Amino acid sequence: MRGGWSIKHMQKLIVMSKTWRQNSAPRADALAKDAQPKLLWHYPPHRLEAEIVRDQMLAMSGKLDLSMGGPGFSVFAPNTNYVRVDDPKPDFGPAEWRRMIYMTKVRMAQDSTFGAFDCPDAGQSQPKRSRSTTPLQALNLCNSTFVNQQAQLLAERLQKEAGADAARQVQRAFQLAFNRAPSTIESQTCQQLVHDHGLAALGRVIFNTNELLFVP
Amino acid sequence: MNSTPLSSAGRALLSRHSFLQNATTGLGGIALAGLLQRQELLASTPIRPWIRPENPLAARAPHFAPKAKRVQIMFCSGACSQLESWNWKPELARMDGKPLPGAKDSFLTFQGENGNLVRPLYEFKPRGQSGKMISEMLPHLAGLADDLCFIHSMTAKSNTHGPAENQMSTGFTLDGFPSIGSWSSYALGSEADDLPAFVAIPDPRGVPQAGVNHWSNGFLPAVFQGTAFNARKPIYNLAAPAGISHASNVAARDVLKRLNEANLEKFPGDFELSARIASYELAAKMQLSVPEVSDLSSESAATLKAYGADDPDPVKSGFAKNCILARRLLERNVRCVQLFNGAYAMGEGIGNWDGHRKLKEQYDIHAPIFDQPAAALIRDLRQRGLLDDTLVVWMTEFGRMPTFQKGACGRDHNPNGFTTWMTGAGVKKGFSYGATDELGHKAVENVTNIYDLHATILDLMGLDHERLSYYHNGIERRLTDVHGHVVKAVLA
Repeated sequence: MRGGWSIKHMQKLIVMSKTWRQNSAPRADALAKDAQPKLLWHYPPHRLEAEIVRDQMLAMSGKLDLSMGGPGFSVFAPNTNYVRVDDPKPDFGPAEWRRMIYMTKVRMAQDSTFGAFDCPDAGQSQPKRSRSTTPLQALNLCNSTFVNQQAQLLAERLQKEAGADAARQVQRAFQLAFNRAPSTIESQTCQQLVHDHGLAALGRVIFNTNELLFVP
Repeated sequence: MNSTPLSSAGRALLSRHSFLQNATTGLGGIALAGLLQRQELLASTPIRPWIRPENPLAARAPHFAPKAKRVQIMFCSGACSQLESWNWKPELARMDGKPLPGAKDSFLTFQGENGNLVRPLYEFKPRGQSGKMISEMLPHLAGLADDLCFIHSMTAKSNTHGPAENQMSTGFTLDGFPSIGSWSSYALGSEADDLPAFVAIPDPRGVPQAGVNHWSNGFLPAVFQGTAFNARKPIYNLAAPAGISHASNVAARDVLKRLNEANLEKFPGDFELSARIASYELAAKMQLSVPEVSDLSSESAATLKAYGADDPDPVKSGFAKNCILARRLLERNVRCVQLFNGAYAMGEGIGNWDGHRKLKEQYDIHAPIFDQPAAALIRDLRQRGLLDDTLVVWMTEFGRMPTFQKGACGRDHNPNGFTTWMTGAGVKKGFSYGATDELGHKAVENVTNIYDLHATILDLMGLDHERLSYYHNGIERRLTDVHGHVVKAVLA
């Protein structure tokens, strides 16, 4: 109020505060007292929302279509039933590679891969999204057509940008996903995976990592 | 610090409490005493379960000792006529061909104009010791009459399939509310290792009109959603896609685990990160346990035959296999199993109980698909001792009119009087509660609504429906909204 009811003033106050600016890394002494943390002594890692999880996969594979506005896209196969049955499309192409905010929301059906990430049902307004962790999410991110196609496309990108050398491919993948270089052990582990099972297998793993899916 | 999170009601009380502490008037003091009493009450009776973030599906204690540890719902989609099945109306047979008394000419219901009253289209016979009159449409289930507990005075809020199905499964006619199975997972967690706490088994022909709303978590966290699969169609994305070898899958899982564990070292003890690592282990277990539970090859030939799983009709054998799957899930302590009979994709009445035009012709097809498998499931549960602590509830979204529609041989929608029944844990056997009028048109005695039915189901699970809520969009939401009375008369 002293700032003349200015929202900008309030935002500045918040982002300049000690609470806001503290390191998000946990401390053993603080964890022992307040593990939740209810006292805001650090910002605990948060899983990204469904839309961001999908968009960043497309961004990494280089296929994200950033065009704005216009009609949305559907992830459900067309059908001629008496009552609409929302079965997912069997495969996806550039038409479905726009940001998820442009995915048409239908009543009573969720995207078959990302809906399980607490996507609002949209039958009711949802002022605050819940955030839960389920084995179905893990199955979707490991086995869905969408994710495996993107893993393949990421592999093609890595090949193009880092050449045939597995070490450089892993290096590039870590840069794209985590914005850092891999540790020696990580690099060795991942190179072995690429050697044994191909570059798409690495993409599939990276799309499932906590480091990619959480805001630290 | 108190580890129990305060409900919003509790928060409101506390802030008013501190306000009143600063107030100096006598009125404030009196109010404070009342508030403190209520606060004490709240502290001992939380209205939300305490969900441990690191393990949201951990088993939780009910409010009081439950009669039913598991619930088996059988949902006949399309509105199964009470007049052709459970609700014997001799007066309707007598009045056959006459106009509905009190109705104006060609009075309107859901699809339009109605003709005259039409007698029940199936013969009724006394059954069992109780002599309960049940039609010959469902002879196998009729044979269980002495075990069933009927509510003949059900009423629904909507006369339209979608909203009415929503209400039957979620308490609300609108989309977006949690289903009864999601509420029970939220309240009680899971007792089933390696399987979902709440499973929906769609009909082999497809999903009912309200589709996934029947097993949706609505606004509850996604961890409480129902998982849908049946004997024919597995869970989406359960198996690795073709082209990814087992070795590749195992190696990928191992590398993922190592990367995630290295990441966790930076955030020791973090709930969400560890929960996500654990979720992959659970997923891997489900990849084994779900095919195992869905694999009926270990069932004896006698069992398959008893359910009708050997029937030449693929729909009947498919539904029979779904019924066997239901029993296998209940045996493994899945808490809520929803079994659907009827699907909507093929159109009105063709694959479901929506008998507008040719009711008898359609029910002659649908009834045998449902009857033998459903009755076999109840018998099998009883034989294995599961019925002692499993509640079985048969439901449909509403009933049908005692008249035929004008120019048709079928009955229109009737939400004002229809039948549901229960059997198993905690309910009376061979008992009937409530009644419709002489023509089976409207509930007139002990009128019961869906809130009451839900309150009763929760009560049997050891839950007080008024003390189970989730704060959403400014309201402490309940399955029963602000309504519902436990139907004590049906409790054993």
